[in-house]
Amino acid sequence: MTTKKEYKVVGKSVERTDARPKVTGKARYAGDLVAPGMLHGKILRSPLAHANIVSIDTSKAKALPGVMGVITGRDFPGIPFGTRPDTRDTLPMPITKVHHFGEGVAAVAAIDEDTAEEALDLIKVEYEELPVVLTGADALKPDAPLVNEFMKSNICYTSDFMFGDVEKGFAEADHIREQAFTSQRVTVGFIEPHACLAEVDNSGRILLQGSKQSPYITWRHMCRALDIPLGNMRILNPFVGGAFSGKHDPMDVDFAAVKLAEITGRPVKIVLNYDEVLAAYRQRNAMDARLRLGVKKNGQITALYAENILEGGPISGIGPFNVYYFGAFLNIPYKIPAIEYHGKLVYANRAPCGTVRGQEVVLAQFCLDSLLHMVGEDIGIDPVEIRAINAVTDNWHCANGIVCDISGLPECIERSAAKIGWKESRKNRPDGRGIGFSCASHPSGPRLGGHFGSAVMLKLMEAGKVIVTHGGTEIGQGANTVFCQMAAEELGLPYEDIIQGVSDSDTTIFDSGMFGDRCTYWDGNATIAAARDLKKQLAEIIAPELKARPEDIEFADGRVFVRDNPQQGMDFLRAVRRAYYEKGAPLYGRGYWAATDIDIVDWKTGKGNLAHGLDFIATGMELDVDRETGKVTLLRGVHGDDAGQPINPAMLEGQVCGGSAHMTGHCLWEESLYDEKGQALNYTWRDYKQPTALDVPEYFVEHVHTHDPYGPFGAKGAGEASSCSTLAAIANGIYDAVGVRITDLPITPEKILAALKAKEGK
Amino acid sequence: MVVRIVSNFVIPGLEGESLGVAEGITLRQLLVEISRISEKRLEFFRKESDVVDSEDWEISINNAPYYTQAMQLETPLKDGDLVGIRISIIGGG
Repeated sequence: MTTKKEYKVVGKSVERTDARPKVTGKARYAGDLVAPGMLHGKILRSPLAHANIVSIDTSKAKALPGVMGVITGRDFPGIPFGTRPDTRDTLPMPITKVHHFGEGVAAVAAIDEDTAEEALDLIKVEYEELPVVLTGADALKPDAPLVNEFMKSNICYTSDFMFGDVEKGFAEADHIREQAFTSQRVTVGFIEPHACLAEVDNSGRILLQGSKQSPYITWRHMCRALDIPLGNMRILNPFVGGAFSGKHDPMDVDFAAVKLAEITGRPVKIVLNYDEVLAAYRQRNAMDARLRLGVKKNGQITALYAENILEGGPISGIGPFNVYYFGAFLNIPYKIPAIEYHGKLVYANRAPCGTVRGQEVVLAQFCLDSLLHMVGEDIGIDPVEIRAINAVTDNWHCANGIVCDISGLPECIERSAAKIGWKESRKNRPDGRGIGFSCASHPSGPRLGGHFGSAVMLKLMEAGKVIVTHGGTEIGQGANTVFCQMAAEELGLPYEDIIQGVSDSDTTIFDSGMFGDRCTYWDGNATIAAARDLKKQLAEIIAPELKARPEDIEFADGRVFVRDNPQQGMDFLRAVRRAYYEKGAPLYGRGYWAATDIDIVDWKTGKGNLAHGLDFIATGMELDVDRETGKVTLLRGVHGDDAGQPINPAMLEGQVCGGSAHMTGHCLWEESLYDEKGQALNYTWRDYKQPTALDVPEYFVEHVHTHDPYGPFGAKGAGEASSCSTLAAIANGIYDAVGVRITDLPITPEKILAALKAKEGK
Repeated sequence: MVVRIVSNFVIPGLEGESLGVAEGITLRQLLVEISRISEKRLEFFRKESDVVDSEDWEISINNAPYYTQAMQLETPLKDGDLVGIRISIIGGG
């Protein structure tokens, strides 16, 4: 926390640290990496969604000239990994059976990609086909086949929460409405497919350079599944082309590259095709949910009941978090005094799920904000008004114990409604034109337990420049840039004097991961602490020369001086050289931060003050619906956004607009389709469409500038709240435009037309 | 005798928040028993290891970490003792 008000670097839209290498094509991603003697790996994939592996014959592939190694699941120790010790259910590669279409069953390393591809054709796998489980409902049938061999049920994980007196809340309600909602499987949507380069040195120590969102999560999982000590693996992150929660876990590509490198003694690179990613890698859970909402005549919510089945494919992955998040964060962004929640994560024979931007708060908010609109209409309260009535405010204590320190949500609602012209639209609008609203909130990183702090190191070089290293990951969201801005601000240096270091587990302090809008908040606070540590060290060296006490030394505008006598000082560079030349002092600032005053997540009850830095958003979406075709055209998207103090306003806008654009396809057309045997049907970009610039509306971001008491420079996390608000805003807008309510995503033109015909009695 | 169990997650197979066990059961034996009733979903000891996997678990007896007890995992439990079993996780969403 800081009380500084006038910032020189923070709050400015400085150029991203990675802008030039990326736009000039000089950034090196995992697929660009090369190493002497490097081999190329390819993965053989299952054509079946569920089958016993009877045998795998790799002899012909091994005999092919140019093939240097072939592996299967049996080359690994057979130790499952997983995010939680009670849901470890995933092997590096399958041993006894395949669980989904496209699952990797063998891998080849060869001197070139063509040879590796040719070798895949020579591997003979004998399968014994098994019946498949495709949906949540299928998974829960008493006679459903078991999907995961490590579990004795298709129910992977459950959350059952009770916050407040739900019975009393519904008894006090003047109006109650219940509604079912469904959501489909969608892909994650990062640009760069999974890729990595693995090497093993003479001591057997592994070096993995991969496209990873949270490299230390990958590292821990891999060491467990490979049955090696944590110290036997080094992980180094090159540029990462997006992740959106789809690159936390190690994938078969990572394991295969490592194992092939071990057995061949040569570096092995594997770069997936995007078809492989769309068919067989992380997607968002399919959802079947039912919500019941009670309100008073004045619109105040009295109680909420929610049940939810998430179908997550054949492994747990981060699915337990998804179930938990759905329920625990029903407590925001509205004041709901009582909530009952029952969530299940179930296994099925579709591609494994992770999550996608906004986690399953996205799905929860789609349900809740759609239902809130419906209830508001039932009791005659305007959609904007009912949100304002229930919006979380400063110091609000949620039913489960979350404390909202600062909420700009009421102002976000007001400003988004004004900007989009809500009141004016009620007087006059074209046929088929509508405006929908939704609000959302996302925390700046809950305290999940285990390794959960963040740390930053600043190395002050003799040239007076500072290298920042941190355990967070730059995955395109701009983390490196904001940390450099924060370091510059705190050290009183120009932004250009701060250099981003590499992400290397041998030199970087470990981090718990890049997720949940936590990086800016947690690593940002650690950056400030590291800068203060560095200043303290330098001040102690310089103070005698300035005839002052160290605590009276100030750093600003590239100078070091005595606070009450600014003329008594020296350039920063001279101070640095004094330290190095006269003392030989290594100047490393170290900082760490963890929100130790909030509660560690209680997985059993969902209760506790789970997070600081609640980021709020109120989204208004103006759209047209063509009554003849059912086509939806998004016209304007307005986001009233409270992310505290914007560190870099341009990047913040990019996050807000990007999060919203990302969900546009989820809402209107994206769906990963499977046939009745679980075979993926649309796993090329030709068949699976994500939104482009032509599909998204013109966006406007109304910054509601608050000061979070715990955030770095008052900032909150950002980037996921707009994902959470967009689905319901569009659904509500479609209803406003043509009077049909679609509750099963995606809201395709076909569904709209069918609903219009039903409404007209055709 | 009965040992009370406090946890931050649902322990598979455990009904309520206590477990009836034999007199003189040690902490190690209790963990083995909980692993058994969870149908091996919970494994407290890493493969071929004799210590609690500290990456996964925080285990306590009457609110004191088990490793601060003189007999550590061999500490005999008494009727009414409170054993804490808290899960640690790797990563987030």
